[in-house]
Amino acid sequence: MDLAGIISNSADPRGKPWRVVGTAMVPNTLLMGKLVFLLLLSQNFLGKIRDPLVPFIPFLDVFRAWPGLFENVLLALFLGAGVLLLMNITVRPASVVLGLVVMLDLLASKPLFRNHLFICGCLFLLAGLHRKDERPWMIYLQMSVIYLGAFLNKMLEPDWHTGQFMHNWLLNARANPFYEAVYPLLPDLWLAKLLGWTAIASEVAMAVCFLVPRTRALGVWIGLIFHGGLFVMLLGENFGHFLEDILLAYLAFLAWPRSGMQARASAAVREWLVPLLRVLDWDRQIELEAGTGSPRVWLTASFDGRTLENIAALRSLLRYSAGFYVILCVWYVVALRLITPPFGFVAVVLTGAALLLLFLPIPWGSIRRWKPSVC
Amino acid sequence: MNRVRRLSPGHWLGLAFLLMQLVSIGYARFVPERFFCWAPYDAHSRYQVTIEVDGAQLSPDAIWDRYHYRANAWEPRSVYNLFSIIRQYESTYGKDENARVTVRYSINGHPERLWIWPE
Repeated sequence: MDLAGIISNSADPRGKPWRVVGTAMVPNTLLMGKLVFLLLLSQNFLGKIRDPLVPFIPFLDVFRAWPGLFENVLLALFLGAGVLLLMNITVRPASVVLGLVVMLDLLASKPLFRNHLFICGCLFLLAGLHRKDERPWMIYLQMSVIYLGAFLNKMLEPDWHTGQFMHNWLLNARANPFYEAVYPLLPDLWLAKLLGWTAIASEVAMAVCFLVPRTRALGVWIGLIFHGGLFVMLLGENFGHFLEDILLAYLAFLAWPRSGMQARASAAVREWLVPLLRVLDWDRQIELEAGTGSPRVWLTASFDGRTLENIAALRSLLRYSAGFYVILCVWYVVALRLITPPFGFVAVVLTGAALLLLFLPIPWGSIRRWKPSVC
Repeated sequence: MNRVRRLSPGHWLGLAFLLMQLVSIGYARFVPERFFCWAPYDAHSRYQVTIEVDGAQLSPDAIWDRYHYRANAWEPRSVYNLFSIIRQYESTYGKDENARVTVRYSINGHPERLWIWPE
């Protein structure tokens, strides 16, 4: 059977919500937008769309004269734009409308203000303002602004320097078992200070890294380790859904292949790779052929003028398959909501750790060949 | 220069949006509230709101209905955000009710303080 025929490119993505390639948006930015929309639906954002109440812009109070009007218009716009985005129809305007609806909803209600909603509005709006032939550089700037703000606000709070914030939060507000066990062993709130300064240092590092093209990947790794570490230490705390928002925003940093990928695999690898790609490569952008031409190489992946081998090639095939991220999101939701605690949390942490090991740019082959020298 | 010329109206809109956020981060240095300035979990306050209208105390549910904020909780942003909401509500929608609002609060575990409306 012709493998290239099984896994081949196909045409118009409109009306196919599982597709992200071939629209007016960069594929990874569109994928991010779709997942943020689904995340908001799953977090009952529809229930948070309502008539103005103590608005930031006093003018919006005029809508209180017509109960339900403001709310229903925003609901219709949010759902309509969300469906268009999912269906790959007029994706850029749809994304902008989603962003404007989230922003307007926040501006109309001070009590609703949450940073985890604000960031969704920012991502929708900026994603929709980019052309398909450019990297989403305004989202890079957005991420830098977020961490710059977080850094400055912490840096100028004396309670973050002394450990007082962290101590009160972890001990009194959260009764965190890790903190409760370790902090008495160290003098003068050392643990609280260490955690606080680690957060401050991580945030300023990300703010800078996201600004500089060469260090953006490093910024994403710092973010993954920082937010992942918080998730583990706080036993599953996701700060509203700020954690999920941030992880989805990191999708914008992928350099998605401009024109499909060509993969070549050895016979043994094809046995599991063909069914795997059927499950993950929903855009059918990966052409898989037989034979790598070298016994040392079990897999190659070529795209945008470069060719990767073995584990690096496998990472690329996963990294640029929309299904990979959607399945991870589904697994995350199922594990945390349907599996009995704490097993769901443990399953998510183990999955995250496995993915970190797989994707961290560690040259596994060199390590395996390395032999300690004897003096 | 060429890059600037290639910017579309959408880009300018996005850049203006980002600039507004930077202004908001700067503005937050001069006010105690922390809205739209990326300050999550910069202070953690324990607070309790009590409201008296016409001599009768409102229940926690009635306080939720009034402000869409819990009456007794931890605030993971600036507690001054809550004061801002109460101040705006009571000087607009609730102006004629002459409510007396008391918020007992402790920021980051420091000694308890009191905020009272009318100020």
